[in-house]
Parts: sequence; C-alpha cells; structure tokens
Amino acid sequence: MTSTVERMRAAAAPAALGIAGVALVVAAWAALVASGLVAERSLPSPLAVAAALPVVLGDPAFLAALADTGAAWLGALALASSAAVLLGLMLGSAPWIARPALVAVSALRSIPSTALIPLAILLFGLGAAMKVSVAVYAVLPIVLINTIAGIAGTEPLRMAAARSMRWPWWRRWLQLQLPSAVPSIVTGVRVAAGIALVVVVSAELLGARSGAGLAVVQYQQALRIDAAYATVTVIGVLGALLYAGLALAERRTIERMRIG
Amino acid sequence: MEITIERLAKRYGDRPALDPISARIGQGEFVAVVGPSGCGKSTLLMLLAGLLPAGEGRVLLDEVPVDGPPAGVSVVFQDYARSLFPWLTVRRNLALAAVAERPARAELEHRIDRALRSVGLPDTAARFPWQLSGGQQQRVAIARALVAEPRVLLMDEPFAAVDAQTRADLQDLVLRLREEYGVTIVLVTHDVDESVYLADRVLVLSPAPGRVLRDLVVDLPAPRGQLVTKALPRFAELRAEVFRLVMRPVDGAAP
Amino acid sequence: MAERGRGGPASTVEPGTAERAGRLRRALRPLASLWLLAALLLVWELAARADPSPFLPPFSVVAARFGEDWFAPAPGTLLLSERFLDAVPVSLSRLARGWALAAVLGIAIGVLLGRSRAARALASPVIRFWMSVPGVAVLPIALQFFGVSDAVSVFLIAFGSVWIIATHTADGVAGVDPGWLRTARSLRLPRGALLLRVVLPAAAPSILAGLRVSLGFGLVLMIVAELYATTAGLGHDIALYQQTFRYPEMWSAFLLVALLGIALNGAVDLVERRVLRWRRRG
Ligand SMILES: Nc1ncnc2c1ncn2[C@@H]1O[C@H](COP(=O)(O)OP(=O)(O)OP(=O)(O)O)[C@@H](O)[C@H]1O
Ligand SMILES: [Mg+2]
Repeated sequence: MTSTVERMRAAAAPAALGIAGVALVVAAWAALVASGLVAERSLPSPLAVAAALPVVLGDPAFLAALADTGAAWLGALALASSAAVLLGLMLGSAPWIARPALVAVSALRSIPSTALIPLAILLFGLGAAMKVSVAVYAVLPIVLINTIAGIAGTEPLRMAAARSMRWPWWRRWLQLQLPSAVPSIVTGVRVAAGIALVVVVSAELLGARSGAGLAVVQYQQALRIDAAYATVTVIGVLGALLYAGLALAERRTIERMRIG
Repeated sequence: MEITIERLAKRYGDRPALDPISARIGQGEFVAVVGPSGCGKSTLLMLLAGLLPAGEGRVLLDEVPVDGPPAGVSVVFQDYARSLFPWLTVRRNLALAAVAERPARAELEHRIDRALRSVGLPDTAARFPWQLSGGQQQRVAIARALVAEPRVLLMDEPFAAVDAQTRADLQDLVLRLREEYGVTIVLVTHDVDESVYLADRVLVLSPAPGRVLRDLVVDLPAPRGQLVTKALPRFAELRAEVFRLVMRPVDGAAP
Repeated sequence: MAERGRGGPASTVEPGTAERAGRLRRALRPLASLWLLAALLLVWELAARADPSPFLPPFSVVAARFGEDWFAPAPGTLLLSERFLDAVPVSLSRLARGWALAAVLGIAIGVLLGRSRAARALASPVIRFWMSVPGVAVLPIALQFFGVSDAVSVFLIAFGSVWIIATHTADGVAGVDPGWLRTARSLRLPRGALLLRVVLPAAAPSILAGLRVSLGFGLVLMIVAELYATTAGLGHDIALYQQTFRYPEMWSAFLLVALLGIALNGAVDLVERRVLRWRRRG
C-alpha cells in the first residue's frame, strides 16, 4: 500500500534523471562546439539554437507549415486506421481469405513507401493528397495486420457462445471481435503514427509545396542552420509529446479492456 | 568445507522472512532443511549461496565470510527450466559452470563427460535442454553443479517437479554423488520422508519467519537404500518426529 | 513466455517420413495463399488495359520491362544486367553499412540501458526525442555535414534505425528472466561470458525483432536519401525515370525494390529461425 506521496517520489526520481540526461547531452553538444572539432556552420552551439527557437516559433510561415504537416499526418492516420479496421474486421471473420489477404498485403507493401513518392507526385501533384496517399500506403498494412491478429485472438469459447446465441454478424463484430481486437489495434495505431510522420516529412522534403519537413530545407538553404536545428528540435519535442500521449492512451485502453 | 551460520536473519521490506538462525554444518555432512511453505527455506539457501545480501549475522565458509557467490559452491535450483539455458547444448550449459576457473580444454571435457556419466546421461551432451524430459533436465542441472567440482552443494527442492520413480532415482543419485565427490550438502525439501532418508541431520524450521525448531540427528546406518532404510523402525520414528514438528500448530511454544 | 518452462519429451533427431511430408505441406502452404495476390495482379492488368494511362502500365508490360532492365544473357555477370550492377550493389552497400552501424551501436546502447535502471531513466527522454525526429528531417543537416556523398545515406539509415534497435534491445535485456540471471551469478560467470552466453541470447527475440523492424526503416530511408541527394542507386534511378517520363522502367524498378525487400526479409527470417530454435519447444 503505497501512499500518493511515495508514489510521486518514486516517479520523480526517473524524471529527475531524465532531465539530467538531457542536460548531459546539451552540455556535451556545447563542449563539442566549443572544442572547434566541428564547424559552426554545420553544428551551431546550443545557445544559438535556443536563440533561434523564438524566431522559428514566431515565423507564421513555419507555423502554417507545421499545421499542414499535422493535418496530413492526422488525415493519413485516421483514413488508414479506419479503412484498415473495417477491412480487418471483414477479413478477420473469414479465415479462408485472411491468409491470402495477408500474403497479398505483405507482398504489395514490400515496395518501400518512399519509393512511391515519385509516383504519387505524378498521380496527385504536389498537394496534401500526395503526402496522405503515400502515408496511407505505408501504415494501412500495419493497422490491418494488427486488427486481423487481434480478431484471431478472440476467445474461441466466446465466439462459440455468440454463435450458439445466434448473434447476427454485426453484433458479433461490434460486441465481441472489435472489443477483443482493440488493444492490438491501438498498438498498431501507435506504431503507425510514428511511421506516418516519417513518411509525411519525407514526402514534403521530396516535393511538396509546404510542410515542416520543407521548413528544414528552406532554413538550411537560407544559410540559417541554427533555425534548421531549432526546427528539428521543435519537431522532435512535438513528436515525443505525441508519442507519450499515444502510449498513455494505449496503456489506458489495454487496462480497461482487461478489466472489462 | 565447513559452513558456519551466525545469527543469520533476513527481512523483505519490513516483513521478517527469517529470524536469527545459528548452525554449524561440518565438512562432508548432509543436512536437510524442512519447514512449512513460506518459512524462509529458499531464503536461507540463497543466503548460504551468497545470492542475497544478509540482513543480520553472517555465513562463514571455512572461516571466510560469504559476500557474493563463493568459489567451490554449486547451487541446484528448484526450477530447472529457468536455470538451464535453452539456447545452449547440454555440453555448453555444463561448460559454463567452469568458465570462472578456466580449466584446460581437455580437463573440461573430461569433467563434463564424467558429470554426465554420474547422472546417467552420457549421450545427451549434444542435445538441447528442451529436447530432454523434465527429470532428465533436472539431472543435467545436477551434472552442471558437479562440473564445478564443488565442495558445497546447495539444493532447493531439486526433486519437486519430477515423478515418484525419477525422484527415487535422483535421491539415490545424490547419495552416490556424496560418496563419489565427498561434498558437503544442504538440501531444502518439502518432503519429510526425503529429508530423513537422505540426511545426516534435519533442520526443522518454524512457520514464517523461520527459526530452527529442532536440529535432529538422523542415526540411520550408512549405506542407505530405498527399501532397506525405509523399512527400518527407526526410520518410521524419525519420520514421525519430523512430521510432528512440521505439522505443529502455529502458536506452539519452543521445544 | 509461459511456454518457456515446459520440457517436452525427448524427440527423435531424424525426421520421419510423416514429418517430411508435413514439412512439404508446410512449405507449399504459402503458395496456396498466393491466389489473391495473383487475382490482384490480374485486376491491375485488366484495369490498365481497359483504361490506359501512361503512369500505370499493365503488369505484363512491367514484368517484361523488368526482365529486360535487370537481366542480361551474359553468364559472366551471373545473368545480371549492367544497369543492375550499377545500381543494386551501390544501394545495398549503403544499406548494409548503415544498418550494420546501427546494429552495433544500437545493441551496445541497448545493453547498457537494459542492464541499468538508472541509465534507462537518464537516457529515455533523449532517445524518445531522437526517435520522434523523423530521420529525413535531419537529412538537410546531414548534407551540411557530409556534402553529397555516400556518407549521407549511410548516416541517414543508421540514424533512422539505431534508436529502434536500441529500445528493442533495452527492452529485451531488461526483461531477461531473473531466474537465468540468478543462475549466471551463482556460476560466477565473468562479464563477457554473462553477456555473450546469457544476456544476449536471452534478449535475442527482442533484438531480432528490432533488427527486423529497423531493416524496413532502413530501406525506406535508403530510398529517400537516394531520391534526394545521390548520383547512383535504386532511388536515384527511380527519380531519373520519373523525371524523364520512362514510366515502365520506373515500375520495373519498383518491382526490383520490392523483391529485394522480400529477399532481405526472408534472410532475416532465416537467421531468426536458426537463432531462436530454442524457443520452439521440441
Ligand atoms: N523477493 C521477495 N520479496 C519479498 N518477499 C519475499 C521474497 N522472496 C520471498 N519472500 C517472502 O519471504 C518468505 C520466505 O520465502 P521463501 O521463498 O524463503 O520460503 P520457502 O520456505 O522457500 O517457501 P516454499 O517452501 O513455499 O518454497 C515468504 O513469506 C515470502 O512471501
Ligand atoms: Mg522455496
């Protein structure tokens, strides 16, 4: 029986260590720059990057680009996840087609998503549709595979019970297979979120008209390397926060499913 | 090797697991430790093996205090599946026991073959643990303990997970090994018959936190055998005595 | 994990005839699952013929192109075409160098983190941060460091994979059954033997999973680096065909990349099955 205070103290120690770790890395970075081993042109000092942060965060163009990236990322993730879950439910309840479908999907997705960017540019131009399409291609199979795996893990006894109660298919889906697949689906979505971000930023880098990935290039080409680093820092922090949120949501759902 | 236990105690958090225990186990002696479940038998064994830091008191091996796993001591754990390494063949599992002292290659091979012959598994060196039955795996674990040529053998319910026939075989194996290698043996067991049949002395522990209820000398004649020894009237007496001590109601006063 | 503890009965070493037949059936089973893929390819073919588009040539055209582009009737080059030899070894060598670098660093970092809770707490925000920076976002910065060279691709692949390998390794090492560690301690294993004989093999399932995931990432990043800033390699070829309107060739390159990916995955599978033999109980 741990009191709240004790629990908070137990959680505080790793957090303090984590902050120390970040400080250590920043210190090492500053030392590296100060030693003159790398050119300031390639690696500005932490102070310079920190000074560039307000510039970047105050740049309306960058904020718009960030919003673009976020929208493409979220759109792709939502589209891919909902399509994958629907498809997974259909395939998962028909084992005779589930295996061939998995084989087909894994064959089709063996083209690295980024290789398809040139094709997507041909088909969709340089707008958001291009980024979204490549990201959907990249992450739909991940969620699909996790959905099918989750459904395959449905307690066979409960399935038999549902069948003996003559539940219609939609009820079996909604009340049995979908809930039992939820933890696996959530895990798939978390993994997919990271990959979708990589793909969206890649697509931006290689030929979108806007986006956070492009901002790094623009700063670099404008010889504002400090701002380029600041941009990377912002992206990394946002990504880490996003990941932490998703991981928390994942834990919550899994816990709830286990109790329920 | 002689084991001296001086007012040894252990607590997990603020719950005592072992009340101060003192005992002396002579060179070549075979001591069984029995007691109700949760009384601290495994804890005692881990302390002897230097695998747990002592809370109070200390353990001496030939006058040298134990802090960390000492040389010359082998442990056979109850759970063989988590003590043999499934990714290594039987031969490599056994070889690990001697890594610390780096014997010459030929010497090592010789020891491995001898240990496997001792436990009656001469042809299993190239197999993987998962290709063997449970009893065979337990025998491999014993063979590994022998490869280190220990002077003290500590065993934690080594026969708990095997069937009656294998158990009897393994018991006789351990008796034979003591003759062959002359080691000091401490055996933790749940099984009253086993303790009386095998040991020179039985330490009976009280319910948790364990302390020594009785240090009982087993005065049964030497070569022991499943049929002969267990048929002796003295065996039945000792067995009843230990049984009575283990089964004693929790509130009981000191003997 | 619950399976780990059970010892099965001794199994015979030689495969019996029944077992051989079972193995054959198991080998053929994937083929039986291929029909849907074949059907999809057929749909592609028919759709592309019914409504011709320069961007999407029929599968038969792509397949024919594939044969022409990448193979040659010259036994001296193992039947591979000049184009193949110009592009594939370059790309694969970048992938191999980047991935090997990531594997060595990632496993080393992962072991350090996995062995010490404090180290894990110290490093986890930093690693989480670097994992969240899409490797491609640092590509422009890497260019600043390395210029347009092989090193950019190698760096990008390594950077994109190393964190995945490190976290998987750390998870695996931290999760090693304490029973095995206790045994190792009682055997008084020296540090090296403890690591090589106990910790790494016990963490191997997790490490291999990390290596597998990171290989997919490596492939994705290899292509990005080559699309963006190189003068040779498969990604470079794809960009070239796109820019010069040689669409069937572009598709044939897609097909080649896909097959390479499948082959690499198969290789990892094979290694995994061999290394993790001990997990499939008798
Ligand atoms: N790592 C641990 N942390 C906290 N408590 C523990 C730990 N290990 C054992 N205990 C407690 O200490 C007591 C003694 O445990 P121990 O394993 O030594 O008993 P035992 O006599 O070997 O029992 P059994 O015969 O069931 O194996 C038990 O009450 C147990 O709950
Ligand atoms: Mg015990």
